[in-house]
Amino acid sequence: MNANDVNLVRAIRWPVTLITVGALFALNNFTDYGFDQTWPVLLIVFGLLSLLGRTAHSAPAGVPPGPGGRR
Amino acid sequence: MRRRSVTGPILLILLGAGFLIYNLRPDIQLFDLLAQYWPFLLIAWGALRLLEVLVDYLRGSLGPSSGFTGGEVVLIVLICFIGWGAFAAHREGIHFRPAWEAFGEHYDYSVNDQKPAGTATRVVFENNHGNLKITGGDGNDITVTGRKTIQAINQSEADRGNQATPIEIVAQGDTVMVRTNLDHNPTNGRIADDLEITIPRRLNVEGHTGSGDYEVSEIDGTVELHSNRGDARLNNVGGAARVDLDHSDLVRAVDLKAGLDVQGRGSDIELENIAGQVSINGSYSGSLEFKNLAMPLHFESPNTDLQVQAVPGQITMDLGELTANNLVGPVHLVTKSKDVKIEDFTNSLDLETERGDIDLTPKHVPLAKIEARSQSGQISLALPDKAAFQLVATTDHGDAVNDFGAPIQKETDGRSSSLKGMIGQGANIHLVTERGTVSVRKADTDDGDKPDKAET
Repeated sequence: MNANDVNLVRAIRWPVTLITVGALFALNNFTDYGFDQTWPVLLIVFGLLSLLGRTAHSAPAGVPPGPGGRR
Repeated sequence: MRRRSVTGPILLILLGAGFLIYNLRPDIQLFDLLAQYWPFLLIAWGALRLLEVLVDYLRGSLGPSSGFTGGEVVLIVLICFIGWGAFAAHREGIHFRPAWEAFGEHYDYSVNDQKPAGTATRVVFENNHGNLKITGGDGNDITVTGRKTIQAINQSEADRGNQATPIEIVAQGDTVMVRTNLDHNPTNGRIADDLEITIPRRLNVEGHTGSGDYEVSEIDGTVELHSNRGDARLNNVGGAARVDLDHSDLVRAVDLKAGLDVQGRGSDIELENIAGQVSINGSYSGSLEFKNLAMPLHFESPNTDLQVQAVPGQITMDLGELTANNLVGPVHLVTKSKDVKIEDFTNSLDLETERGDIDLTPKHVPLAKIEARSQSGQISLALPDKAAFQLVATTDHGDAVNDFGAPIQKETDGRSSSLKGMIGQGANIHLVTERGTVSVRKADTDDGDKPDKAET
């Protein structure tokens, strides 16, 4: 993985969160699964995203992903 | 330089489109729709941003800081809070109207009309807003009395609205149409007709309203009611009845001589003394009460499927609990998370709940087949003292309790327990829970009374 991938993971974090929140509220409004029941999905999504971020970070060994990541 | 996101302009376009729809088509309840469908705006926004990120990535022009700005995050959180509140209010039946519509005053007009029904067999009501009280009578006239309420900034504006929305009773073949024409209102203000209608009781009734309650009584024909929002009360109806309400707080039917078909979303349902078949298909979040149903009942919701051959006693149900007394089986019940308590039922019982306790008390001997499964919850079965049966009861995590003594063997293996055995030649009883106690008790605890025909 290169710095561009690190940026990609960082960049999709918010859109994915937004889609998840939207989906959970849609479930809340149209099914019997309330947001008060389904909110742990958000934790799972955050966890997955940060896992993804970690694999993207660790892949280029010895190259710290500095700002911009250009080396 | 980072390309600016396209969400800003799109948001602006959507906002404009929303106001345009509101101005051109006031009959579309835009604010109510938004209260329900707003989560899809978030999803669309997220999908759009995702698409942008991917396009940038494929072009290789993805910058290091293409996250959301603080302003966007604040806006999203704000949308979530407002949307959550709006939906809660929407579910409670509070209607959203923009602030500028709250201005103005209410003007009342009386509505009266009368026409002979002739040889018509059917009467159809169309009312956009307002309540309809329809009563069958012995005459052959259709008589409408009631009041129209118009919200307007001044009297002349209200008069203009009133003149454009005259009530009509029109005969078309075998049908008489009763129309309130409220959609012809040229002003933006709210307008509603609350009507009391007397019709020949022999007629078949059909109603279509946008919002408003129905009250239908003393009708010999069939009844069919549709509404986007409103309640229905049926009393003493001779023909088959069909109620299809998108958002209701209450559907009540008492003394129906034929079948009833209920559909839609809502809160409470109360049914009593229904001679025909009852089928309910929809999502109901309040309390449901069924009393004295002579023919089969089929209740189907996203969470529950219940089939009973008849209900001489009663069933009460809400989202977390189902209690029934005196049912004619075979009873079939599949539900997601409910505590189930059924007392006194005949014929076989087949019951499955994902999460909830089960409490069964069959009173009729000989027993019929009983099958009860819970994924998480205790199962308790109280049998008549003289019952004959073959029992298999298992729990994966929990204890097993047996009141019937030696003929029933208890086995324990790690955390799981089971009861197996037979008393006399009887029906199969199968109880399974993954987590919780299973117990088989005696219903009447007369001490010293040995089970009949015990084979040891």
